[in-house]
Amino acid sequence: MAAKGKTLASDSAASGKKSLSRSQKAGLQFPIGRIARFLRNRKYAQHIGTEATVFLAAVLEYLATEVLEIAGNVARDNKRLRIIPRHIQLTVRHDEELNTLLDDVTICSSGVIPKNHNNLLRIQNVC
Amino acid sequence: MAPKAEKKPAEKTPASEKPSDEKPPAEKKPKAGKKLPPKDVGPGIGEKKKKKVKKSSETYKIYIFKVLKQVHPDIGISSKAMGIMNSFINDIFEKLAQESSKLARYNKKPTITSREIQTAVRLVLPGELAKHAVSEGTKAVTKFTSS
Repeated sequence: MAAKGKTLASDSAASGKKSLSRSQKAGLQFPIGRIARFLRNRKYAQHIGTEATVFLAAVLEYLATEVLEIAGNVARDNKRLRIIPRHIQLTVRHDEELNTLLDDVTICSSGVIPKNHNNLLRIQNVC
Repeated sequence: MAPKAEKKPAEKTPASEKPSDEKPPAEKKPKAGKKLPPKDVGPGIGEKKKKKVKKSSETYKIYIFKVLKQVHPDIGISSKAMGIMNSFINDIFEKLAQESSKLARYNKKPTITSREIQTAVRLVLPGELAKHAVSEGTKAVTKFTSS
């Protein structure tokens, strides 16, 4: 404890800067330290590189941004100020790539995409 | 002294009889060095101590909320939708980590580096999503190494 306190004090005294988290260094919102701990503890490999955790956190943040941006637009189109599961379902199912990524996923309390099969529609031109 | 001692149980009986019955065994406890529990809180202390202990669960919810405020500052998110987003992030994390683990094992390497994560992203994510994700990851790594 004393050694740790000394090193922290010496770092701040020498550099004159506050210690930055790895997320702040990479300019991300997602937790790099927590993702690193998850990778280490769950035995994916013997060693985990430091850049691997940064890369993975960036990818996860990009995917979250992508889904939340479109879901927010869907919520606004429906005149709502809050994203609900239905908005996430409409986001995912209307986007080709997100639908491919989440093809085998069921979203709870989200309904389905409105679709009428052609054979069920009334025949307009009758000979 | 005797009338005072007689008054105390008389004051207790209108409240309830049980705490007065519990007093003699409770009085035995402070011999171990513990304080007597107060009358009102006596039966409920064990329950309160059990309620205070809460297992903390780690989620990505606060980070998802920060990202949402970056993208749409005036839009909120319901708790169920937040749960869905948390499950989504955990699912993608698991897919990418599993694929990276397999790649490291196929190449007989004991380490998961950014190269394995990048290849896993190209394998797991479809099309343009993979390209944009790789560029975002590379940008973050460059900024991290330069700082």
